[in-house]
Amino acid sequence: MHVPVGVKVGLFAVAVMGSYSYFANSIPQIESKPPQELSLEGGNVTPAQLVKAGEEIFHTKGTCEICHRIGQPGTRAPDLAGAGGRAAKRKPGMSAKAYLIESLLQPQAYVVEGYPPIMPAVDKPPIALNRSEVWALTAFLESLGGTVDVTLNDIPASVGAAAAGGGAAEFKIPGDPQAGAQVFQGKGTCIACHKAGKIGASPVGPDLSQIAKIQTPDYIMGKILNPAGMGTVAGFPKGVMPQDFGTRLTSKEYVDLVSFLLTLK
Amino acid sequence: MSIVTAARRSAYAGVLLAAVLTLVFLALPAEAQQAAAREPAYRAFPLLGSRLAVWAVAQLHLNFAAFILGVPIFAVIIEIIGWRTRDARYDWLSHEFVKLTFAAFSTTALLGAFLLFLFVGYYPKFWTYMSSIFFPTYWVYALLFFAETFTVYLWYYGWDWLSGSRKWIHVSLGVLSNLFGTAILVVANSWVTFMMSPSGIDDSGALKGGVWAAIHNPTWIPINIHRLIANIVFGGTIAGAYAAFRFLSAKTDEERARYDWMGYIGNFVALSAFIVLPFAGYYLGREIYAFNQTMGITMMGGFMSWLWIIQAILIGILFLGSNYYLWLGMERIPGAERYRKYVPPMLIILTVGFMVWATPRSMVVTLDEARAMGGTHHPLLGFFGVMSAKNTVVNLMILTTFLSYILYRRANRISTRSWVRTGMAIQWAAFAVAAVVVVFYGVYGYFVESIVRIGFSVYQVVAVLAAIVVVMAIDVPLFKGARSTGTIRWGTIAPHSQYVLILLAVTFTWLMGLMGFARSGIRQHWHVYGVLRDTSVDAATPALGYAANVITSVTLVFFALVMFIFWIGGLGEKGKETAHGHAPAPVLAGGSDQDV
Amino acid sequence: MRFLRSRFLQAVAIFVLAFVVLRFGIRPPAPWSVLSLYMFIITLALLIFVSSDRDSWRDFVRPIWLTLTDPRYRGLRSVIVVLVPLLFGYYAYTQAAAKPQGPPELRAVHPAPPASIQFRGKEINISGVENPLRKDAAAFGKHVAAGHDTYIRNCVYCHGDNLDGKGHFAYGFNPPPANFQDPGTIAMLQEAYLFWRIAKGGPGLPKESTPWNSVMPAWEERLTEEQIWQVIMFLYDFTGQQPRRWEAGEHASH
Repeated sequence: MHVPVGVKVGLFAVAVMGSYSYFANSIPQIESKPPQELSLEGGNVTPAQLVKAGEEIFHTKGTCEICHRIGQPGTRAPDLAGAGGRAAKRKPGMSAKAYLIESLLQPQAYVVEGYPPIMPAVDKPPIALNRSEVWALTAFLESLGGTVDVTLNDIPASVGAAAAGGGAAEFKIPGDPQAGAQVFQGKGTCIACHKAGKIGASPVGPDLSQIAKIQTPDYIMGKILNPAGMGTVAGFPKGVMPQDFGTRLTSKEYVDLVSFLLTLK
Repeated sequence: MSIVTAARRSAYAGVLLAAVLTLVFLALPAEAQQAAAREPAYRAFPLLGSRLAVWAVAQLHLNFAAFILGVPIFAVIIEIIGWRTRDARYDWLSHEFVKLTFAAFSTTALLGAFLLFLFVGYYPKFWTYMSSIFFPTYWVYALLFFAETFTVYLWYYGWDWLSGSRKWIHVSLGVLSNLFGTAILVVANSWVTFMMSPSGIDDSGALKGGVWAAIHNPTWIPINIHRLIANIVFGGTIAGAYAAFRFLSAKTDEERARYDWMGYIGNFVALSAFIVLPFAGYYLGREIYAFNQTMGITMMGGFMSWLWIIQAILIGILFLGSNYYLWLGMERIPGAERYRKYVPPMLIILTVGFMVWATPRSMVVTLDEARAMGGTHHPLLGFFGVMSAKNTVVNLMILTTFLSYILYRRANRISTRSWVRTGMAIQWAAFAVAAVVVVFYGVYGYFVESIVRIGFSVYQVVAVLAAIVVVMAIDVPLFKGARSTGTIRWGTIAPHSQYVLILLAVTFTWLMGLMGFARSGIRQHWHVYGVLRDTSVDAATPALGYAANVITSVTLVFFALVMFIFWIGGLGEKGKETAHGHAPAPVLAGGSDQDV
Repeated sequence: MRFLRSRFLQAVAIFVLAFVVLRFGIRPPAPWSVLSLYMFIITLALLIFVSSDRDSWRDFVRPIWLTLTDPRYRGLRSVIVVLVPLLFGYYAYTQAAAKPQGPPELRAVHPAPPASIQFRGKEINISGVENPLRKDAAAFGKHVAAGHDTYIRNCVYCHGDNLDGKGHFAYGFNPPPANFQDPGTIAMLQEAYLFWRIAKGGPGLPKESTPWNSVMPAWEERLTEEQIWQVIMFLYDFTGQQPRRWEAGEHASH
């Protein structure tokens, strides 16, 4: 059988280039996408676009993946596979949409059993998503096993105001921070385990030097009164913090202490 | 006769059509600027999408342009050799090379016009902006193009007319056409490099001073050098592949001998230029880093890091392939058996060098492997991932390839000089010193800070180049008038060696496509980096797999076109076999005493 | 020992030897992707080795040819005819069978930094900036000591007291914390690059470093600009590494 030279050479060239193509396709493929500035308010957005934008936020700005995984239970937070479908059954009488928005904006309102209540509100620093981004993120979570029906009007207009303003929302508490510092070092014995700015150095409990920046007043107040119920920061031993501050401290001392802690930024 | 005339006429028509199209579009920008407000920023090319259309046509145009600019450079050198030595074989070979160029000339022009049409039609905003900066250069380009066309026509058709005592005019025409060709390349490069590293403009993107500042942007000179050298390599490999094709389909021994020799010269040209190409590429890379650190890291360490592994594999194949071809070629030289024993050690150096060079910095690892390695950074192989190791091995591979060539040169020669032992000892010493310097600075590079290490690569390069110069300076007189152990049996080379030539051409063309993707891709979502943003649907830079598929498809189209054009070119040859004196190939290894 | 001179056996022996050395000789084991790349190159080189001259090629092909055609090797031939499809089948099985393992990741070791970052509302250039604290040579010791302090308070838990990435928590993380003692890490980078990585942490990684599973916190909220520069000075001082300097001309306008 005589094969023409052109055919042989052609097949050879195809084989060579095919193997180059094959190799290039065999490594993980990364596309370089142009950066996007997300503002969806006012425009017409399809649910598909919204979900895509939300997924992007989930992976990037939202930093959700540090604790949450999809299709894999994390040690710090629940698996989000099927979250959109499950959300409707979490709280009786609450729609999936409302539950998801609540869990993003007020994470401590309902904490899934077996996990510590450590999630920060996504519209506050350091994550500080704006209203559009919360909208998109909700849509993405709904798309995980549910139907996407969230509209921008579902997201409270106040969302993201803190982020836009550049700091935490103004929060006034009628206490004396200086007296609170004395409580921290003295009667409260907090200093035995915690560090707060220049005061204290013990590494037993988490460093509180910037607690006001990373946690809400609600969390701080709750944690003092009910340490076990508020969960334990990852990496620290459980059940070390005394349970009896609510009975040992006077209400003035308690309010002073909280207002002191809120100065720690 | 009719077919010959038809082919010629179509070549004329093609070039004329391209010229007319170019002029029409040159006149456009002024109006286009007025119309800019009404015009959309982009239009969508049907079916393929605008990006793919521009990509494919640009790459095809570049392939053809590189070929017709690269081949005349060595064609004229070969012609000069033939002229000075009065050896008709070289004149025939030079004519053969120019014939290939000539056949591809009108296709290049047509593709260029088509590319222009795509830009104007589908990227109007981009084109308007480019015209606002570079409009004066368009005229220069058009004039150079006409000058180039006429000189090459005169050069090709005046071959017989300007022979004998008028040969010097003919050679000057060849040189002149090369000057015009290089000037065209340099002008086109200014547009491309401006897109990567814009300069001479203010914050709004408007030209600050003259157009010269925009032309003379940071990457312009390095790209000029890099492309010029690469064009020669490319021309050499394509000419080699053409010869291989003719060799494989040859009917007579005489024809086989002739194309065997042509393939050898093509490979020799490619190899000689290829050896310096890594240095030019390194210079270009440095200028990109100097222009913009982010762009540099995106290119080398970030998004594109794996592209360089593929590049390393391709270059490794080119190194192995060209050495293999030389070794196979030694079989047709009586007396070359003496040097067979050098093949395994050289092969080992090339293989180990290839492996080190292809070791990725960012490895593809599964989760378990990453855990076993303690991260994505391998504690041992990580050492091979950095520039120190890669510079070292590439220099060693170049030295080895040069050694292959030296052995090939002396394959059938025994020197009759009295100082033969001293001479050879100095040659080996030069190789050894260069290798030691390269390895020393490669290893030492791990112990110094980066900025010092970058300087080391210069010492390594200088050591290798010095060794090449010293060895050649001794080799030429050493084997002048040497005793021959037998004539080269041209045409008796193993047929699979011809597939190696084709492999080299295919690989190099593919590599050019890949590097084009890299050069264009590092701009990411910018038409003109940092100035004019790409807001089209194609703003994302595609992943490697997609790029590879496009490159493969375009390269296939390129070779199909080339084969068709060469076939047409071959038609004209029939019936006038003896027009340019098909003398048998020369008898000594390495081309001739003059050493091409 | 005549069979040792057979090209075919030589080639097979070299192939097997190379595989054993590369597979078991490199500790910790090289990733499969790299190993297969190496073996591909070696296969290519072996093919060149056996075919670089005609005698050698004939020598190489003869045993293959004999096995395929000679009546004496009928038994061996049958075994091969059965074995080869089985091997292909096994390969197809290994490729198709689901494995309890994530797909391979391609993670850029040194992702490209942005040209500038927002640090507490202030823009800091990453491209071309020097460590401002190094200008005052007299205060060098003071800054390093302060950086040491900051390091022990914040970083030691993951990056370890020997700066080798083996802190208490290191074993729980994938990817593990960076090992600063390794000459392939901070010694290859400018100080500004480190500033970016410390300030923006895992959440600030660009696209090519997907998936974003680095637990490196974004320290910009907790450390001041000065503290970050101090800790960078400490990293280099303690490990004895030198930061990569900017080349002249790198302070480009873009």
